[in-house]
Amino acid sequence: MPKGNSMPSSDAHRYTPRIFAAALLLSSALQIGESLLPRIPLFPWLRLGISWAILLPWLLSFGTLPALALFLLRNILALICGGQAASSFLLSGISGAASLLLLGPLVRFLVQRNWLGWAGAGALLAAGFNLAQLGTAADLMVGHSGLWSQVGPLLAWSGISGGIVGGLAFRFWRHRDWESLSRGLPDLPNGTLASRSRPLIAVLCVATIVAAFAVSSLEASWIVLSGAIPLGRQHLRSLKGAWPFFLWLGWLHLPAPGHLIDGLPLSQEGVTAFVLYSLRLVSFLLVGQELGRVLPWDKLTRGDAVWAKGLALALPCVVGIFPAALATAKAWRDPRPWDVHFWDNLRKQLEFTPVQASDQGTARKTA
Amino acid sequence: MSRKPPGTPFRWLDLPLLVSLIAGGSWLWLGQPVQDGSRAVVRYQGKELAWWPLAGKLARDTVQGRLGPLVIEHGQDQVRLVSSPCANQICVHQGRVRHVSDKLVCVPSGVVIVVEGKHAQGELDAIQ
Repeated sequence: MPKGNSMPSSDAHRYTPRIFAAALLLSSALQIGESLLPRIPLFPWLRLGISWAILLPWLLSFGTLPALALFLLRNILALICGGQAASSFLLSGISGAASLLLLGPLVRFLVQRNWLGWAGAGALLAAGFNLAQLGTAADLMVGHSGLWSQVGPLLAWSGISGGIVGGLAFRFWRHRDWESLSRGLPDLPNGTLASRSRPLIAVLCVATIVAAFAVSSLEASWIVLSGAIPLGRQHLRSLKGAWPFFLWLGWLHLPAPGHLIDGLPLSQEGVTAFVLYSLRLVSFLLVGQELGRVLPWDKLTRGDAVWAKGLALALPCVVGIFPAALATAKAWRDPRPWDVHFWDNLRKQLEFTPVQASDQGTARKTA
Repeated sequence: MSRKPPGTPFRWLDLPLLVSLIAGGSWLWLGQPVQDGSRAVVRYQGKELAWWPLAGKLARDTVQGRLGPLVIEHGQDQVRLVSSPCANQICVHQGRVRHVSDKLVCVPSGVVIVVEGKHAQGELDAIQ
């Protein structure tokens, strides 16, 4: 495997599935956690983008396409677990992909030549991302070119937020490398990648996940869930660790306006939206964990797509991301909160039992 | 085997980049003339849906967006979104706006509320 080559295609082989899984879980936790913070009055769409503290060094270390894979999978997990609106997901996905593809190689080039630091790299990416978002919203989603008048505050905020995130990221990464970060990732029960492949179950799992997000009526969602329970029955116990996701969904959807239910300060529309998103989430959490276990990732990816194996390692841990991130936030004064407390909290949430010696050996070998 | 992300926190190109983004953006934002608006125009998918004068008493109206009804409060020289069926409620958190070219945007609903001034109305009168 070539090393020392700065081309993205070669760099893609320089990380392991375990490193990818750790980066995906951390960036998703930061993204979901940030969505809980209060918005800035007058400009509520401006956010710090703290998950770029993982994405930026990932781009600098491994290249544009691996960064794009990490970014898109982080968005999908945030969409599923954070109850994000589909339009926000599209807006962020299109803009992020465009800015990474256009600016990623330039940012890497400038940083590798030592012309640009992490603060400038963060600001440049933030400016590209925000401009792409503005263009997508103005021209594709709302159809009102007057939105471009917001370009001033967006550019100014890009300089501030990108600089802060770049600086924070460098401080975080000063004494770390990717191996040390991924070392804390819990060992998976039964060794996810080492499980025997069951293609039929895997196809059913994929179909169930697609169906869960494709249907928009409550009746159909209940039917999908009734199919998901037998598939992921051994993961039912893990759902209790996912309570903060449902709290978050309630906070997002229950106050929605509409026809009030008699005697309750809730609208029928809000309750319907909450139940619909919750049913989707339960189906995904049950079936997603099973999918990580039964899909023959090695065969499907033929050993090349490390990100796919990383996703397989990360999927069973998704259920614990949110509670682990919340518990970790309490330890923010600690100089190393994420790579110590986050993984410990994740392990507690998932109640992982130590992996059997043979399974652990196989899982490590595969990773 | 150690894989540490490359680069340093700050290099010579960072300062002009950060300064130009912050200063240029602030100039574009704060350099625009501030003028009180006279009416709020609701646009949905590029078309004008409704408008109300900003002067007068507070009143509430409902418009239909892509996801459902949005409640808009207008009057006392300002306008705000009271409620929206979108998940993130970013449009509601924008609060009140009153100056010409200020906007309330709900991307999931596809609705934009723009504050317009007397200038725009004058142009329309001239065409008539």
